[in-house]
Amino acid sequence: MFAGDQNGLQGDPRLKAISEAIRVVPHFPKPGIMFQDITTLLLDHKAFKDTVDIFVDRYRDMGISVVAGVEARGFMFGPSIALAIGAKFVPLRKPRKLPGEVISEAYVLEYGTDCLEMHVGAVQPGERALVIDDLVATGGTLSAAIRLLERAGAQVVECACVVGLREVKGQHGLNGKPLYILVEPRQQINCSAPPVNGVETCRHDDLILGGNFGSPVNTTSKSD
Amino acid sequence: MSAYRDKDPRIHGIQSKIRVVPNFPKPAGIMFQDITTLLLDPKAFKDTVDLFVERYKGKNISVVAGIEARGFIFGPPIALEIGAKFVPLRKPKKLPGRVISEEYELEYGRDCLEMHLGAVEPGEQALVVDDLIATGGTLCAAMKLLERVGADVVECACVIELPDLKGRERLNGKPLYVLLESH
Repeated sequence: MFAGDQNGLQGDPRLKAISEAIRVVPHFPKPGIMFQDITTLLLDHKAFKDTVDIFVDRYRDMGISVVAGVEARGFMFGPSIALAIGAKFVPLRKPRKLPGEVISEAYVLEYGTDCLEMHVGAVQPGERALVIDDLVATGGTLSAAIRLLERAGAQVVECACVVGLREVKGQHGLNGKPLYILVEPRQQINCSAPPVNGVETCRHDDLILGGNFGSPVNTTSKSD
Repeated sequence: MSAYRDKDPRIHGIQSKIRVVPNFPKPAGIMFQDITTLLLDPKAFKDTVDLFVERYKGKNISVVAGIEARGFIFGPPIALEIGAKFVPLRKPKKLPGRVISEEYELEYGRDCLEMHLGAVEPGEQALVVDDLIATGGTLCAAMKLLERVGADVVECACVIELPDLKGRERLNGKPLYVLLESH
């Protein structure tokens, strides 16, 4: 669900400011991808604080004792949320980064597979958990994160992302777990315009809610 | 492990939550300081952040730069509390926009740290944050990135220092603030 669909946050100016603070970088990491760069959001103290506050307001009374953040951009949002709601923070990492005993969960990439790891003992059976990442694309990474937590006996209450599409495309579907998203990815507004030197241009006023412009351009990609 | 800031009663609690993992990442007698167990204790994690916030709030610091990836865990909460922007310093090819790069030496070979152009303006006062300082190579590269765009690095801040590796001496005279030492 989208933050802006809910009572109290409809038309909330904070969401518009958060969306506008995210930079769209065309053709990263490869041609056709419009990368949603949250590093510009982190430069805007008010918008960054508002991002954290909106998540904190939602989760503080849900009895959540674990905030699990996906490496590496999930680390930029998760700890602040955890600190504010009194939960532990659990980093979910690429292979061979965590020093102790781990459990691993493989997930499918466009080409090949990758793996997410969590320390054994970080999470206890019965704990209520939140998974946080900056962006959800196909949901493959989040699904792996959910599986790690469930294997440790935790209950995943929700997955939270700053940016994501209204429908999580791809086969993953998050195992039926709810997904909470603040803003949608921004795309270029005028797909019929010719590219300049092979590069599409992006404008800051192009917040589009869904819609298909008949272009094969992918709007999001999960890298890192 | 000896406490460095042993006057503050919160230090002991923080110290007790850090797990030492032998022979990681490779067998060689390395004792890896694992801060993930600190993050599992909400009070100790909050105390860690509070100690840094108390030191840097009101000091006109407008940039907190965190080193990938564990610097991303401590840096943003500090930045948010002191009213600064957070700037991630990343391994190559992770940042999508135009970057500047700074190479640094590893035990075997070289690595590279990158920062987005435009993230930091000349004259800004900056803090560099990481979980731990060992040889100081990474922190030194981080400082150089910030200085190359005209920022003034006020201090480097880490949870843990390994003083035997003399990283403090590689910081070109810049001050280093740590909560704990480990020998």
